[in-house]
Amino acid sequence: MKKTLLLLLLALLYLSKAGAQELGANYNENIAQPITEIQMLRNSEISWVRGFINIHSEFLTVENNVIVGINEDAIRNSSLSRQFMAARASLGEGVKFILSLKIPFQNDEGLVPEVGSEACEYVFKAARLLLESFDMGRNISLLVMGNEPMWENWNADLQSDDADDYKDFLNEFADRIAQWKREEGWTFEVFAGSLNRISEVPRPTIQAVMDVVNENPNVDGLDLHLHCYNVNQAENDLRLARETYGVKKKLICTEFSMVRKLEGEGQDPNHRTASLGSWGTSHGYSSDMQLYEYLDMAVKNASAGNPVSPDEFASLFESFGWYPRNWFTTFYNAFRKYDTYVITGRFSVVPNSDIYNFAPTYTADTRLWELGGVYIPKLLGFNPDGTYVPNPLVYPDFMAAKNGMYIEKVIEGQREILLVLGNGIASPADFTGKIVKDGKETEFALAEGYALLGGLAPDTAYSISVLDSGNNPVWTRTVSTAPLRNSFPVLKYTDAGKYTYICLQNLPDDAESCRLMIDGETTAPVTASMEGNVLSAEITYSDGSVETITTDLK
Amino acid sequence: MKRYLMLAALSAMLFLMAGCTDRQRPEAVFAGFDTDCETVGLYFPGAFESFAVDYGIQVCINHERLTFRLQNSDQSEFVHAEFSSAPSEVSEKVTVSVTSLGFDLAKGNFEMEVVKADGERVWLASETVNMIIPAL
Repeated sequence: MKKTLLLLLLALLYLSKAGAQELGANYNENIAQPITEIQMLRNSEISWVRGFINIHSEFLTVENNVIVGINEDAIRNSSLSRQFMAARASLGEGVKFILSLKIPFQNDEGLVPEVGSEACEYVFKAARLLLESFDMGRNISLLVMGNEPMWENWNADLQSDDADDYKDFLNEFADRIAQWKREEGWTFEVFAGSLNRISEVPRPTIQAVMDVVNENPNVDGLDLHLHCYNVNQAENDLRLARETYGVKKKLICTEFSMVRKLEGEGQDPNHRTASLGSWGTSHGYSSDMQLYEYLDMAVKNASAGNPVSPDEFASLFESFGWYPRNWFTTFYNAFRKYDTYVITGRFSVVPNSDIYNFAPTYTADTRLWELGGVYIPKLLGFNPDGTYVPNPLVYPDFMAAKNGMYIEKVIEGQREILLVLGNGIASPADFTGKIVKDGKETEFALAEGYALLGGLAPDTAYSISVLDSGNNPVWTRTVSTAPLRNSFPVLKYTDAGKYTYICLQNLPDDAESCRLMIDGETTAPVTASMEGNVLSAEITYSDGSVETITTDLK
Repeated sequence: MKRYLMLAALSAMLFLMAGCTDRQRPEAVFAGFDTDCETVGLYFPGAFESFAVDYGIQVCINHERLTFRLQNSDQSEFVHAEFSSAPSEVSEKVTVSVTSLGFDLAKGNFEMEVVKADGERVWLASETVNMIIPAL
């Protein structure tokens, strides 16, 4: 008994060491989609949005399998970039954006272009122009160089993914980006990846990417994709990255699913043709009806305004012995265990989703990516208020993860950092905070719902921890404050989920005091409601002069 | 017939002018500086462009330092003007030192003339840019 208790305690301590992950919404190539569902993104209180752009197919000019130029107009006028950035503007700084650059070289002559070649320069030029367009470089928080290169550089005829050239390419790309960041004042983090199924797929590019992550100081971390067949594979991949490849930098996971299990793979039969069996007869369907026929019917019923119920939908999948119940929670526990910084799963599957390149109907061969969405109105319709019906296979686990979080959002100001507490901190008085800079520790208290850390220096990294009553860290993260952009103060207000965070940025050193006001009345920087017509600030400078900044709220 | 055609053309012109925003008003209006306009902002004669108070635009004033700044919330566009003296009387000339982002026509030092003042606002004109600012 004692031994069991000790083991349980050790397990709890092990799990509580990490857990700094934040939840986000992935859109893959459909980066024009988030602007169409801003309210759903706000309602879900996610902290990140992620999408990718295929630089190769969208912006490079290719002749006879050789990159010979870039289409500058296409980059400057990209409606994808414009809409992605429109979503960023709508959601505000409480939601951070990840841009992944998909650059498949598999059909190019010589595969990955050699560093110094004209082709390589065209790729870099296109990437820089893309980051400059629509002020993307300033508005994203994280850039991933690549998207599944172990597939997308793989040439089956040559039986090669040109790993050596890819390693050189990535190192040069990371160094160039670091230079662009210095020149432009961009502050986004740079990751390599995304590597999919690393515990299964022995491709040389995996080692090449790991080497770049571990060795290049201009790379901040590694992006993994976990599209699994076995539910334990998530943990296997994360462990492999941390323990075998020795990745000490940040890990993120921008795509994850159990799609291969849902469809059936390897020894499994095609699960899409599984019969409904006795579940079918007890729910008013034929026992011979196959899963794909049911899904097709569900889409048509939802489209006709008569969707199947979420309970029925969930009970069907639970009736299948092969269905990996609570797979999201299993993944999430692995993310916590291996300190995965950000995870972005599929967010929504809307009707008429041809934009997802999915067929409007289900057949025995339709990929089942859609079943991994947190919201699936395409299959289950809309609520009376127009919001999306959640996916009963994912949403409860998603909410449990969200409700267990210690810190829900981190918003980096220039001299302040706001931590929005998650429901994992039910009683803030039972927790304390610790901020460390250059070995000097300072404690801070957690207010009800948030902690606002002030008196910080701009453009500086701080190690921040939240500790429980036993002084054990339950959340730790290195967070950098934003740099000053100029000496002209600007008033910012950010939707931080439960709160609005108001601050002044670019405060010069001679600013002695500030006052924030709504309709002339002093307001706190973190407020639960933002009712009013005019937001203003008064800044008093050391020479006694006062600057007022005023902006309409309506 | 001619009279009807002229009336129709005039009606169409008035209709178009009434429906235009400041940014879209025709050159003729800006060339003469539309001093009937009361919206604080910068107006570029002939460039069919303006940067004026609207939702999301911030107005920044420091009376002691004689500065006026207009900016959007992410400062991807701003104009910061520092005046040599507080402009207030019609025909008065002031030197303005301007720092800006997104407006190449409003940069550096130039002279502006007060063309209208009502106590709350001042209308300032120059060859490249006209301004309506809160009284400093």
